[in-house]
Amino acid sequence: MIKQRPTPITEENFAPFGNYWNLCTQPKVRASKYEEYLTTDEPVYQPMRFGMTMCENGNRFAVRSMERHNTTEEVLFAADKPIVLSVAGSDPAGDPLAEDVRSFLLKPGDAVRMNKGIWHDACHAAKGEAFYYFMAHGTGQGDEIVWHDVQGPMVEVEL
Amino acid sequence: MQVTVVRATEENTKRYGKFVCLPKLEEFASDGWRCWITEEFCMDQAAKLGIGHSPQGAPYKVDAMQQHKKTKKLFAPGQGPVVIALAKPEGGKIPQAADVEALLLEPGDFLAIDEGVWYDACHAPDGPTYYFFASLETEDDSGYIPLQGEPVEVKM
Repeated sequence: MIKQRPTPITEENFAPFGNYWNLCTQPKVRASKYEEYLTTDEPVYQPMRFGMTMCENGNRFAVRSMERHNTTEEVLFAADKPIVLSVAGSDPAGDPLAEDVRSFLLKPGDAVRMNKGIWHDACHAAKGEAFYYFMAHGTGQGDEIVWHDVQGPMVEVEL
Repeated sequence: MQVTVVRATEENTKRYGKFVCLPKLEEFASDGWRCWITEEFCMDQAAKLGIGHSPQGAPYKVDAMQQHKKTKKLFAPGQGPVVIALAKPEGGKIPQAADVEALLLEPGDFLAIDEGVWYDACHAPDGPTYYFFASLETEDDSGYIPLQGEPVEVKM
Protein backbone atom coordinates (compact mmCIF):
# COMPACT_ATOMS: atom_id res chain seq x y z
CA MET A 1 0.00 0.00 0.00
CA ILE A 2 1.13 3.53 -0.77
CA LYS A 3 0.17 6.02 1.93
CA GLN A 4 0.32 9.72 1.28
CA ARG A 5 -0.84 13.00 2.74
CA PRO A 6 -2.08 15.83 0.53
CA THR A 7 0.44 18.56 -0.17
CA PRO A 8 -0.72 22.20 -0.07
CA ILE A 9 -0.88 23.15 -3.75
CA THR A 10 1.60 25.65 -5.23
CA GLU A 11 2.36 26.84 -8.74
CA GLU A 12 5.59 24.84 -8.66
CA ASN A 13 4.36 21.49 -7.36
CA PHE A 14 1.33 21.48 -9.67
CA ALA A 15 3.30 22.52 -12.78
CA PRO A 16 3.62 18.96 -14.17
CA PHE A 17 -0.16 18.69 -14.24
CA GLY A 18 -1.30 22.15 -15.30
CA ASN A 19 -1.67 25.69 -13.96
CA TYR A 20 -2.49 26.93 -10.50
CA TRP A 21 -3.88 30.27 -9.32
CA ASN A 22 -4.45 31.56 -5.80
CA LEU A 23 -7.37 33.85 -6.61
CA CYS A 24 -6.92 35.75 -3.34
CA THR A 25 -3.46 36.98 -4.34
CA GLN A 26 -4.35 38.08 -7.87
CA PRO A 27 -4.45 41.81 -8.75
CA LYS A 28 -7.21 43.75 -7.05
CA VAL A 29 -10.05 44.88 -9.30
CA ARG A 30 -9.78 48.66 -9.42
CA ALA A 31 -13.45 49.48 -9.74
CA SER A 32 -14.79 47.13 -7.09
CA LYS A 33 -17.07 48.05 -4.19
CA TYR A 34 -15.30 45.72 -1.78
CA GLU A 35 -12.26 43.50 -2.27
CA GLU A 36 -12.28 41.63 -5.55
CA TYR A 37 -9.33 39.89 -7.15
CA LEU A 38 -9.10 38.73 -10.75
CA THR A 39 -6.52 36.72 -12.67
CA THR A 40 -4.57 38.60 -15.33
CA ASP A 41 -4.58 35.63 -17.68
CA GLU A 42 -7.55 33.53 -18.68
CA PRO A 43 -7.90 30.15 -16.96
CA VAL A 44 -11.04 29.76 -19.08
CA TYR A 45 -9.37 30.40 -22.43
CA GLN A 46 -12.26 29.05 -24.47
CA PRO A 47 -16.01 28.61 -23.86
CA MET A 48 -16.62 25.98 -21.20
CA ARG A 49 -19.42 24.06 -19.58
CA PHE A 50 -19.92 24.65 -15.86
CA GLY A 51 -20.35 22.00 -13.19
CA MET A 52 -20.35 21.34 -9.49
CA THR A 53 -19.42 18.34 -7.38
CA MET A 54 -20.52 17.65 -3.82
CA CYS A 55 -18.10 15.34 -2.04
CA GLU A 56 -17.50 13.86 1.36
CA ASN A 57 -14.74 12.11 3.23
CA GLY A 58 -13.71 10.65 6.56
CA ASN A 59 -10.13 10.67 7.86
CA ARG A 60 -8.75 8.85 4.82
CA PHE A 61 -9.73 7.67 1.38
CA ALA A 62 -8.41 5.35 -1.32
CA VAL A 63 -7.66 6.49 -4.86
CA ARG A 64 -9.11 3.51 -6.69
CA SER A 65 -9.88 4.85 -10.15
CA MET A 66 -9.32 7.92 -12.30
CA GLU A 67 -10.45 9.49 -15.53
CA ARG A 68 -8.68 11.75 -18.02
CA HIS A 69 -9.87 13.88 -20.88
CA ASN A 70 -7.70 13.98 -23.99
CA THR A 71 -9.72 16.65 -25.73
CA THR A 72 -10.31 19.23 -22.99
CA GLU A 73 -8.56 20.91 -20.10
CA GLU A 74 -10.50 21.02 -16.86
CA VAL A 75 -10.69 24.08 -14.63
CA LEU A 76 -11.52 23.32 -11.01
CA PHE A 77 -11.79 25.44 -7.87
CA ALA A 78 -12.70 24.79 -4.25
CA ALA A 79 -15.90 26.55 -3.19
CA ASP A 80 -16.97 26.30 0.44
CA LYS A 81 -14.28 24.20 2.18
CA PRO A 82 -10.85 22.66 1.50
CA ILE A 83 -10.76 19.70 -0.89
CA VAL A 84 -8.17 17.12 -1.93
CA LEU A 85 -7.38 16.65 -5.64
CA SER A 86 -5.54 13.47 -6.60
CA VAL A 87 -3.86 13.39 -10.03
CA ALA A 88 -1.43 11.17 -11.94
CA GLY A 89 0.83 11.99 -14.85
CA SER A 90 0.74 8.42 -16.18
CA ASP A 91 0.43 7.72 -19.90
CA PRO A 92 -3.05 8.90 -20.95
CA ALA A 93 -3.16 6.07 -23.49
CA GLY A 94 -2.77 3.48 -20.73
CA ASP A 95 -3.95 3.38 -17.13
CA PRO A 96 -3.11 5.53 -14.11
CA LEU A 97 -0.26 4.04 -12.06
CA ALA A 98 -0.27 4.05 -8.26
CA GLU A 99 3.33 5.25 -8.13
CA ASP A 100 2.38 8.38 -10.10
CA VAL A 101 -0.50 9.51 -7.86
CA ARG A 102 -0.05 12.89 -6.16
CA SER A 103 -2.60 14.50 -3.87
CA PHE A 104 -3.00 18.26 -3.40
CA LEU A 105 -4.89 20.28 -0.84
CA LEU A 106 -6.94 23.14 -2.33
CA LYS A 107 -8.48 25.81 -0.11
CA PRO A 108 -11.36 28.05 -1.22
CA GLY A 109 -9.70 30.53 -3.58
CA ASP A 110 -7.34 27.92 -5.03
CA ALA A 111 -8.01 27.20 -8.71
CA VAL A 112 -6.34 24.89 -11.20
CA ARG A 113 -6.53 24.12 -14.89
CA MET A 114 -5.53 20.52 -15.51
CA ASN A 115 -3.82 19.77 -18.80
CA LYS A 116 -5.41 17.44 -21.32
CA GLY A 117 -4.68 13.80 -20.51
CA ILE A 118 -3.99 14.25 -16.78
CA TRP A 119 -5.53 11.43 -14.78
CA HIS A 120 -7.63 12.65 -11.88
CA ASP A 121 -9.98 11.33 -9.25
CA ALA A 122 -13.08 13.20 -8.11
CA CYS A 123 -11.99 15.51 -5.31
CA HIS A 124 -12.66 14.57 -1.70
CA ALA A 125 -13.59 16.91 1.11
CA ALA A 126 -10.64 17.47 3.42
CA LYS A 127 -13.12 17.09 6.27
CA GLY A 128 -16.81 16.23 6.29
CA GLU A 129 -18.60 17.52 3.20
CA ALA A 130 -17.55 20.13 0.64
CA PHE A 131 -18.45 21.26 -2.84
CA TYR A 132 -16.36 22.56 -5.70
CA TYR A 133 -16.91 23.94 -9.17
CA PHE A 134 -15.38 22.65 -12.38
CA MET A 135 -15.42 23.75 -16.00
CA ALA A 136 -14.57 21.90 -19.19
CA HIS A 137 -14.92 22.62 -22.89
CA GLY A 138 -16.32 19.16 -23.54
CA THR A 139 -18.17 16.74 -21.32
CA GLY A 140 -16.22 13.96 -22.96
CA GLN A 141 -17.42 10.98 -24.92
CA GLY A 142 -16.54 7.31 -25.10
CA ASP A 143 -13.26 6.54 -23.36
CA GLU A 144 -12.97 10.20 -22.30
CA ILE A 145 -15.31 9.59 -19.40
CA VAL A 146 -14.42 5.99 -18.55
CA TRP A 147 -12.95 5.54 -15.09
CA HIS A 148 -9.81 3.40 -15.16
CA ASP A 149 -8.63 1.40 -12.13
CA VAL A 150 -5.37 2.63 -10.66
CA GLN A 151 -2.75 -0.04 -11.36
CA GLY A 152 -0.38 -1.22 -8.63
CA PRO A 153 -0.60 -1.10 -4.86
CA MET A 154 -3.56 0.60 -3.24
CA VAL A 155 -3.09 4.36 -2.74
CA GLU A 156 -4.49 5.64 0.52
CA VAL A 157 -4.63 9.35 1.29
CA GLU A 158 -4.56 10.24 4.98
CA LEU A 159 -5.79 13.58 6.23
CA MET B 1 -37.01 52.57 -1.60
CA GLN B 2 -36.84 48.97 -0.42
CA VAL B 3 -36.39 45.85 -2.53
CA THR B 4 -37.03 42.37 -1.12
CA VAL B 5 -34.74 39.54 -2.18
CA VAL B 6 -36.34 36.89 -4.40
CA ARG B 7 -34.96 33.41 -5.14
CA ALA B 8 -33.41 33.38 -8.62
CA THR B 9 -35.17 31.19 -11.17
CA GLU B 10 -34.83 30.61 -14.90
CA GLU B 11 -37.90 32.77 -15.43
CA ASN B 12 -36.96 35.82 -13.37
CA THR B 13 -33.38 35.88 -14.69
CA LYS B 14 -34.21 35.42 -18.38
CA ARG B 15 -33.83 39.11 -19.18
CA TYR B 16 -30.41 39.27 -17.51
CA GLY B 17 -28.64 36.22 -18.92
CA LYS B 18 -28.21 32.52 -18.19
CA PHE B 19 -29.19 31.00 -14.84
CA VAL B 20 -28.72 27.33 -13.98
CA CYS B 21 -29.48 25.46 -10.77
CA LEU B 22 -26.96 22.67 -11.29
CA PRO B 23 -28.54 20.05 -8.96
CA LYS B 24 -31.62 20.12 -11.21
CA LEU B 25 -29.56 18.66 -14.07
CA GLU B 26 -28.81 14.98 -14.66
CA GLU B 27 -26.74 13.67 -11.77
CA PHE B 28 -23.54 11.66 -12.07
CA ALA B 29 -22.45 9.89 -8.88
CA SER B 30 -20.07 7.36 -7.43
CA ASP B 31 -18.61 6.56 -4.00
CA GLY B 32 -18.62 9.74 -1.96
CA TRP B 33 -19.49 12.25 -4.69
CA ARG B 34 -22.31 13.60 -6.85
CA CYS B 35 -21.81 16.01 -9.75
CA TRP B 36 -23.71 17.96 -12.37
CA ILE B 37 -22.50 19.79 -15.49
CA THR B 38 -24.28 21.86 -18.12
CA GLU B 39 -24.73 20.49 -21.61
CA GLU B 40 -24.12 23.94 -23.04
CA PHE B 41 -21.35 26.42 -22.49
CA CYS B 42 -22.00 28.70 -19.52
CA MET B 43 -20.62 31.62 -21.54
CA ASP B 44 -19.69 31.82 -25.22
CA GLN B 45 -16.34 33.38 -24.42
CA ALA B 46 -13.06 33.01 -22.57
CA ALA B 47 -12.80 34.35 -19.02
CA LYS B 48 -10.52 35.32 -16.20
CA LEU B 49 -11.42 33.93 -12.76
CA GLY B 50 -11.99 36.02 -9.68
CA ILE B 51 -13.03 35.99 -6.06
CA GLY B 52 -14.92 38.75 -4.26
CA HIS B 53 -15.13 39.34 -0.52
CA SER B 54 -18.22 41.04 0.85
CA PRO B 55 -17.88 42.31 4.43
CA GLN B 56 -21.57 42.75 5.18
CA GLY B 57 -24.89 41.02 4.65
CA ALA B 58 -28.44 42.22 4.12
CA PRO B 59 -29.96 44.64 4.69
CA TYR B 60 -27.60 46.75 2.63
CA LYS B 61 -27.79 49.78 0.41
CA VAL B 62 -27.35 49.89 -3.37
CA ASP B 63 -26.45 53.45 -4.34
CA ALA B 64 -24.31 52.65 -7.39
CA MET B 65 -24.01 49.88 -9.96
CA GLN B 66 -21.67 48.93 -12.76
CA GLN B 67 -21.91 47.27 -16.14
CA HIS B 68 -19.57 45.70 -18.66
CA LYS B 69 -20.31 46.34 -22.28
CA LYS B 70 -17.83 43.86 -23.73
CA THR B 71 -18.07 40.79 -21.53
CA LYS B 72 -20.57 38.51 -19.90
CA LYS B 73 -19.94 37.94 -16.20
CA LEU B 74 -20.64 34.71 -14.33
CA PHE B 75 -21.34 34.68 -10.59
CA ALA B 76 -21.29 31.58 -8.35
CA PRO B 77 -21.71 31.47 -4.56
CA GLY B 78 -18.76 30.52 -2.34
CA GLN B 79 -19.44 29.42 1.23
CA GLY B 80 -23.20 30.00 1.17
CA PRO B 81 -26.04 31.82 -0.60
CA VAL B 82 -25.45 35.28 -2.06
CA VAL B 83 -27.69 38.14 -3.06
CA ILE B 84 -27.06 39.97 -6.31
CA ALA B 85 -28.80 43.22 -7.26
CA LEU B 86 -29.40 43.67 -11.00
CA ALA B 87 -30.91 46.27 -13.29
CA LYS B 88 -31.58 46.49 -17.01
CA PRO B 89 -33.21 49.84 -17.75
CA GLU B 90 -34.66 50.44 -21.20
CA GLY B 91 -32.78 52.49 -23.72
CA GLY B 92 -29.33 52.15 -22.21
CA LYS B 93 -30.12 54.57 -19.39
CA ILE B 94 -28.41 54.72 -16.02
CA PRO B 95 -30.54 52.66 -13.61
CA GLN B 96 -32.81 54.19 -11.03
CA ALA B 97 -34.24 52.58 -7.89
CA ALA B 98 -37.34 51.25 -9.66
CA ASP B 99 -35.13 49.27 -12.07
CA VAL B 100 -33.35 47.30 -9.33
CA GLU B 101 -34.14 43.67 -8.50
CA ALA B 102 -32.34 41.57 -5.87
CA LEU B 103 -32.00 37.84 -6.49
CA LEU B 104 -30.77 35.03 -4.24
CA LEU B 105 -28.28 32.50 -5.60
CA GLU B 106 -27.88 29.26 -3.63
CA PRO B 107 -24.73 27.11 -3.73
CA GLY B 108 -25.12 25.08 -6.91
CA ASP B 109 -26.57 28.01 -8.85
CA PHE B 110 -24.70 30.19 -11.28
CA LEU B 111 -25.81 33.29 -13.12
CA ALA B 112 -23.98 34.56 -16.19
CA ILE B 113 -25.22 38.09 -16.92
CA ASP B 114 -25.17 39.48 -20.43
CA GLU B 115 -23.12 42.40 -21.63
CA GLY B 116 -24.64 45.67 -20.48
CA VAL B 117 -26.55 44.38 -17.45
CA TRP B 118 -26.03 46.57 -14.38
CA TYR B 119 -25.07 44.86 -11.11
CA ASP B 120 -23.86 45.51 -7.61
CA ALA B 121 -21.34 43.42 -5.65
CA CYS B 122 -22.81 40.23 -4.13
CA HIS B 123 -23.72 40.10 -0.45
CA ALA B 124 -24.70 37.30 1.90
CA PRO B 125 -28.20 37.15 3.39
CA ASP B 126 -26.39 37.93 6.65
CA GLY B 127 -22.75 38.58 7.57
CA PRO B 128 -19.60 38.48 5.45
CA THR B 129 -19.15 36.10 2.55
CA TYR B 130 -17.17 35.46 -0.60
CA TYR B 131 -18.19 34.54 -4.11
CA PHE B 132 -16.59 33.62 -7.42
CA PHE B 133 -16.87 35.32 -10.77
CA ALA B 134 -15.61 34.83 -14.31
CA SER B 135 -15.35 37.57 -16.90
CA LEU B 136 -12.99 39.46 -19.14
CA GLU B 137 -13.43 42.81 -17.44
CA THR B 138 -10.49 45.12 -17.73
CA GLU B 139 -9.24 48.36 -16.25
CA ASP B 140 -11.13 50.11 -19.06
CA ASP B 141 -14.53 49.33 -17.53
CA SER B 142 -16.62 52.19 -16.25
CA GLY B 143 -16.70 51.34 -12.56
CA TYR B 144 -19.61 52.10 -10.22
CA ILE B 145 -22.03 54.77 -11.43
CA PRO B 146 -24.45 56.35 -8.88
CA LEU B 147 -28.10 55.36 -9.32
CA GLN B 148 -30.32 58.12 -10.62
CA GLY B 149 -32.40 59.39 -7.75
CA GLU B 150 -32.72 57.64 -4.42
CA PRO B 151 -30.72 54.55 -3.39
CA VAL B 152 -32.24 51.11 -2.82
CA GLU B 153 -32.24 49.22 0.46
CA VAL B 154 -32.04 45.46 -0.14
CA LYS B 155 -33.71 43.38 2.56
CA MET B 156 -34.36 39.69 2.95
